Amino acid sequence: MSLPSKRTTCSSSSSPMKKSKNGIQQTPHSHDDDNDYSMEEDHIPAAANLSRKKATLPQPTKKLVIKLNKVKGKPSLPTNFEESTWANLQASINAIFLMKPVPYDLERLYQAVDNFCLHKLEEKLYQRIEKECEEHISAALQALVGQNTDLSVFLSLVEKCWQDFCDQMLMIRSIALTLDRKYVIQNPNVRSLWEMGLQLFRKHLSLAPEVEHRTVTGLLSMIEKERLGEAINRTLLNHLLKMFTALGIYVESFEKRFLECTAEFYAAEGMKYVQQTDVPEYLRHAEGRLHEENERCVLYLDAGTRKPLIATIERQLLECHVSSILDKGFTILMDGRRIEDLQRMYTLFSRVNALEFLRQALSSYIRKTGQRNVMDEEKDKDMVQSLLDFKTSLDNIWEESFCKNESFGNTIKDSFEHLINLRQNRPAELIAKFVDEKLRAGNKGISEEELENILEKVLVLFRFIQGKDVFEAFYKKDLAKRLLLGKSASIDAEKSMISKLKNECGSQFTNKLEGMFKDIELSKEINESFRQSSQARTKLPSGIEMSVHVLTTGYWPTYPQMDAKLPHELNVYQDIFKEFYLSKYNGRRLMWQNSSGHCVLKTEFPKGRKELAVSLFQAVVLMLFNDAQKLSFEDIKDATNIEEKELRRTLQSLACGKVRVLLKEPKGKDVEDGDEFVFNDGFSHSLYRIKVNAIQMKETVEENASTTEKVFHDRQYQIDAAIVRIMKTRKILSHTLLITELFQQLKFPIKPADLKKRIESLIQREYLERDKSNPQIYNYLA
Amino acid sequence: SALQALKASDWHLEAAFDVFYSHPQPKSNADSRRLEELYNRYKDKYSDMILADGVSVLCNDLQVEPQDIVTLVLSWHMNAATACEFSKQEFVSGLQALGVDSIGKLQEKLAFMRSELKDEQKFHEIYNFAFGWAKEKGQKSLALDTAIGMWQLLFAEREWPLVNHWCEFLQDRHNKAISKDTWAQLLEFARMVDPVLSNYDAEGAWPYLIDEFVEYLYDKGVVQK
Repeated sequence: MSLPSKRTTCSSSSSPMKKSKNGIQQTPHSHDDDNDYSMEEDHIPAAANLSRKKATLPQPTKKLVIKLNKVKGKPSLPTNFEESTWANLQASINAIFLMKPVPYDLERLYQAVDNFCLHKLEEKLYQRIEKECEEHISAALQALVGQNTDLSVFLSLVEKCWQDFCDQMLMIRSIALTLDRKYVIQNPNVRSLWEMGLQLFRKHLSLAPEVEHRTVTGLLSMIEKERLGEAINRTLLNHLLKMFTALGIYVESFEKRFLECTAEFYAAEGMKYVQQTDVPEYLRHAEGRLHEENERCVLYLDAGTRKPLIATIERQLLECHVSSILDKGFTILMDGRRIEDLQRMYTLFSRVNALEFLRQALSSYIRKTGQRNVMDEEKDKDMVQSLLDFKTSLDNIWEESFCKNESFGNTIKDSFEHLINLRQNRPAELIAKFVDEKLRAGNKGISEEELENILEKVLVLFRFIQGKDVFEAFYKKDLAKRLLLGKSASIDAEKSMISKLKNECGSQFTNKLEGMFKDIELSKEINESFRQSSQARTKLPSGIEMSVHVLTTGYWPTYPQMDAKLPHELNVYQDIFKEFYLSKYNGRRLMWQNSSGHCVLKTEFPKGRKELAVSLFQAVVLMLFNDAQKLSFEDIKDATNIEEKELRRTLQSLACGKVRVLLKEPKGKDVEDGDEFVFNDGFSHSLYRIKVNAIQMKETVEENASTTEKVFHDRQYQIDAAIVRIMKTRKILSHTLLITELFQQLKFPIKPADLKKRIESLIQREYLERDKSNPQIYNYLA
Repeated sequence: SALQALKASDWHLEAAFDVFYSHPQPKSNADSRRLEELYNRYKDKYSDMILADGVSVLCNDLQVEPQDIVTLVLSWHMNAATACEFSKQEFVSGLQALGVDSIGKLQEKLAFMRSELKDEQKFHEIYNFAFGWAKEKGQKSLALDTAIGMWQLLFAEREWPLVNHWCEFLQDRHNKAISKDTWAQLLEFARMVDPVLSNYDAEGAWPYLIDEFVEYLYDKGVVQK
């Protein structure tokens, strides 16, 4: 049932009656007012007819009315009018309340009220009606007291009582509409009839607290039943709650208790479920509950309840359990990459402002998980790959589950940075080596695009590294090998990597790397013009070809100078080239880096001809066997003059590896003093061209150590330079400020103790001194 | 007075000359002829200096052990550049400044010299003087053994409860020569920081060796954090 619709019916029915009133006044042979009223019941139909005719011309007749009044003087009421008419009305109201047929014609009743108003008796009438209503309403509510029936039956009784009340009040209002229209509207302190009815209902309901209490209890138990999964009469619930709202006691009487009950219910449920179910299940449940309660607000609760209700549930099901949910389930969800569940967690947590906790959990998850990869030295080999995979899956989760939340993104970055720098230097080295592996020739099965993709990802890791100088050192060393030994998979890929590094760190970082490429290109031209020079054409020994890389010192890693007695032809070749080069570039100095040279030897084995790709040292050793059958380690050492350790490595690669061009006696893995070597006459291999120089690509322990050491040395110089730079401009600076500035300027990870050592070294070398009055302050000594 | 001039100009030689010559020399009651004789008594046969042998004769005459800290104070008065050596200039002007011209008078001064060690300011000067005095010629740093010997000698005069831990720490963990800065800062450390390290500031400018020493003290449980 709805109130507005009732109201419209009333007003439409009233309009003709109103016009009819005008009509009466306009009748030319109008009787006295008393006559008019006594005749009322009989004349109304006629009047109504009249009105219909006259209604079209209301304006011009108005003047006439005034004239009539002037002529006739003031009309007076019959003395019994008030009492008799009220008796009729009272009887009708009684009938309405008792749900009996109304004894009088409704239209006449309406007229009667109208007349009351006309004669200024409306106030009394209003009070009379109010009194009448009060009696009945009080009786209706009293009837509910002491009903010891079942709660649901009781609720329907209440509903019935309310429905009846509404119907009755509307009926009464329709009859006494003129009161509302004329009297109520002019007196702001007087309630409309409907309001009055509500007020009376409210008053008598509060006089019967038991009724109200039972109703609320009944409603709450119905809702709880629904929450537990039982079907309930939602319409009943809806009507009763509308009653509370209409009476204006919804918040006070119902909502307060309802929210309390809800909190209690979900507190218990939350506690129970958190312990019993696993986290994804729990989150699903919470989500479901929130949905249900939302529905409840649509179906029968007042719209205003939604906010506090949802907040209560969020609080009880989520907020109270945030940390236990995270502790119990976050790692499992992350490990399982459960995008959907994580997204649910994110959405739910964002409702209760718990994202900060989620973010922290994410941070510690990344740190903990990654630490296992980074800190375990045995996993070094796969570290970069596993970090890349980890990062990819985190990014995926971030996009899909965490809505690309910016602070989460930063958390991932920060945690990764922390992770990679957990171990100093080593990760940087491994990343450089990872790139080397990808860029090295022989890495089949990867398309250019995939390679590009991998490089892009590696660069993300590179970004996190604090000690970029370590990366640079190893990258440079490996790049040098790739370029010099012709092992680079693709020059395009190499250059793309360099340009990526340039974007990342600026041209200063890649300056030398680019210089290396320039050297290689220049060398090609030099070789070309050498081949066409007169020196080359006239003086070169026949039978060999040589190509030279001219490397600019400073661009390339420094190699230890390793001497070797080269075969005569090579020496001649080198000298002629040197002569050519120096004639072309005056004032330069050429130094041969024999350790980086490599050769192809054409070898006649009894079982067939082979080409052996070997290092220069390997070639030098093998050439000795042109003139000898059997040589001892010492013989070879004397003849080649190769450094002992390097020679052992070289011989090992020739006689103990997969491809055995030489045979060693006695057999064994390591080369000992006194071992003897013979040319392997029985050598056979399925390929024509055989690579034996893998040894050159491989990084030795010494090489690794020296690269690292060089980085540390460079760092010391950089620190010294930075200190001097700062002190030169500041002249006088406190220790703390100096350290702060240094941390800002220096790009690699560094401990304050290291800085102190450098400061002290500079004090010792008299670049600085401590201030005489305050040892915390340094002075720059010009 | 040469010494005073030096002290007044903070041991800068050039400045000291200025101070020295711009002030009229106070009348010394030491007879320069007798000082000359005294110098010749200890002078090395082959060079115009008093060397180790001469110093040991001098100590003998004064009836002090060569390791006695008073010889350091005497050297400080003479502004001697190196231990166990005095140049003629150092010897003569040192004695002149002290106002003595005989062994007997010098001997009488010994008690005064010992008392100078109790003076905070003078001790500070003597301590800093000791570094340059004790180190090998041409070296920038002080050999660890010498340094430890000097510290034990010096801190015998001026109580510092951590001196033995310090020496142990250096032998255990450092085993390298001591820089002048570390030498000078150690006295600061001994003076400023209380033995339970309550006012030690790890962020401060203490030399790293001292920072490491503090760590060592915590590690060993000598001092509780």
